[in-house]
Amino acid sequence: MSVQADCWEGRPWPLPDAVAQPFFDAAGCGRLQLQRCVNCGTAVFYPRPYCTVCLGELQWIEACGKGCIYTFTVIRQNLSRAWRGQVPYVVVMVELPEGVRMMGNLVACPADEVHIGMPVEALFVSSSAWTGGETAGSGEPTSDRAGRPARGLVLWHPIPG
Amino acid sequence: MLPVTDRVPVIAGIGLSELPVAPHLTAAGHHALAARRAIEDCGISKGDIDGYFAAGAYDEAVTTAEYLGIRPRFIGGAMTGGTSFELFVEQAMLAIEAGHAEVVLISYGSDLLSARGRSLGTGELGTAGGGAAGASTAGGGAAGTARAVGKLVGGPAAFEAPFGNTLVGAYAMAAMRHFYEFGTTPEQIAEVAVAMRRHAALNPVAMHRDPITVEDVTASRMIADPLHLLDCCLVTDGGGAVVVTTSERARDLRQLPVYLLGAASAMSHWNVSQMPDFTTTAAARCGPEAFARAGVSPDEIDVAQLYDSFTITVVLLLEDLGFCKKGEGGSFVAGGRLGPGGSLPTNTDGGGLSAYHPGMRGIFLLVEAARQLRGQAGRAQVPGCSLALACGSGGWLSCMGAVIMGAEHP
Ligand SMILES: [Zn+2]
Repeated sequence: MSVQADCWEGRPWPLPDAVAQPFFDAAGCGRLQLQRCVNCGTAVFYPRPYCTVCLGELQWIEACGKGCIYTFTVIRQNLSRAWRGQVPYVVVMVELPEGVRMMGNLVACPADEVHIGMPVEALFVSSSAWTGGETAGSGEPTSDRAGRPARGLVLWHPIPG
Repeated sequence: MLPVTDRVPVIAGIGLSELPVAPHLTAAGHHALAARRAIEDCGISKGDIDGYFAAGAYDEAVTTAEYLGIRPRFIGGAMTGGTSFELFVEQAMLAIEAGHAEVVLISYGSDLLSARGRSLGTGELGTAGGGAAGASTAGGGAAGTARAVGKLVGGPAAFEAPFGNTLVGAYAMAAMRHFYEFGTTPEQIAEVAVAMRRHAALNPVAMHRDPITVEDVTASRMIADPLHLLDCCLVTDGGGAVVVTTSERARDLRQLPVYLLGAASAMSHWNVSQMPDFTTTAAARCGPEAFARAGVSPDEIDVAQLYDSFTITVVLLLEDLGFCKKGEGGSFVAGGRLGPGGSLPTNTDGGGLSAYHPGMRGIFLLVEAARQLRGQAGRAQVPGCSLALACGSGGWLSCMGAVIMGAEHP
């Protein structure tokens, strides 16, 4: 499926720090990863240095890449430059079976067909769609503490059938 | 001077700046005017102020204290969004009870409308309404070059900003989940906007005073499903201030003291994607605590001031504070219960939906509750009002602060 149309150049793009970098590196390779505590098993998202429950060490795990819509909205007005030409678009909170929720956009689905509980699947957008083919990070100002712009972004689309 | 023995904290003075539009005033100008009016209202000497709290999207306590010429020994200003001022009252109560301060000024000022215009919380991220924390941006993007590449976003915002959610969108997602779990309808939450407008008709400085119907709300433009234009608060200018001191000191001041009977606060998240349950706010934790501290129950409250950033916010607060069961807020607000003459008059100044919302409304909840308890609310006066609740909601349903006030010494 082509996703170029859903990744217009004006979309704000993540500039992850070192803790979050593995998530976006994985997304750039078409994989959905999140963290799990080696001590208490809590799944953690967004990425953190330590477990948000017990401060234990976290390890990266591979998520199945599927989930259900927990809630959503259809944005019909956004006056900011990046988004005003994109309305309407769907913002979703997706609940993953691994035990976390993620915000994202639902694409390839008419706005009036979106519903809570709808099964959805991750869709990966490479940074080349954002930069127009340039290598992510080239020419972008970064500091030592910030990493390089994300290699990929996770969106969602309905699971067919 | 003898030591003060009656340290029960009270609101002794209240003040509003110019509302709802004041192009000639800066945010600091609103602080100054509201503070001056609150100080004159109670007749306390400005030099006696030894505690100060403030927060805003573009200013903070240290800069406004200097601007106002105040040298506090007790200072605070945690930015918890629109409810910051309810949290400040809780902290001021503790400071006054402990003797760490005698006279605390809490002030707010914003020129949001005149400086930035109305974007309904759908403008550039972090510039409209809800505060900018958690929406930190990093890097310069490529603005100004031929390619309009979007800006780079770091921190927790990297997990929200790329998806174009708006402030309205965050509350819309809470409403959508509430509709799904409990069968709440657009018509039910619209009742909140209708009731606020009826109160606004009694407030000469409210932004919008013409009556509206449920149909007007549901027929207004959809901003973020299921929230329509008239489900959303206004963007205005404005400022407010309160003076908090001891009950003993208030005896020599001009106004009837408003007794601070109990306060509590809680937070559950900051960024909305981290909200544990989109239908339950932290008010479910701090509400019961505030009522227990005050020794009263929800059915004793004569007037409520509940942060109406959006119609759904009021429904969630009513449930979480215990005025009705979780899921029953939609039917609770029906039949004009929150309007003038209803059994729970709410936002008697017209609220953020119809009167004023300069970005952070919490100070106005306190001022209006105090006006009602003093019997100074004019045409909006709730007869026999002796117990009031103010509950703020800040951020993206993130931080909650409840304050219970009474007309009689506890
Ligand atoms: Zn753990």
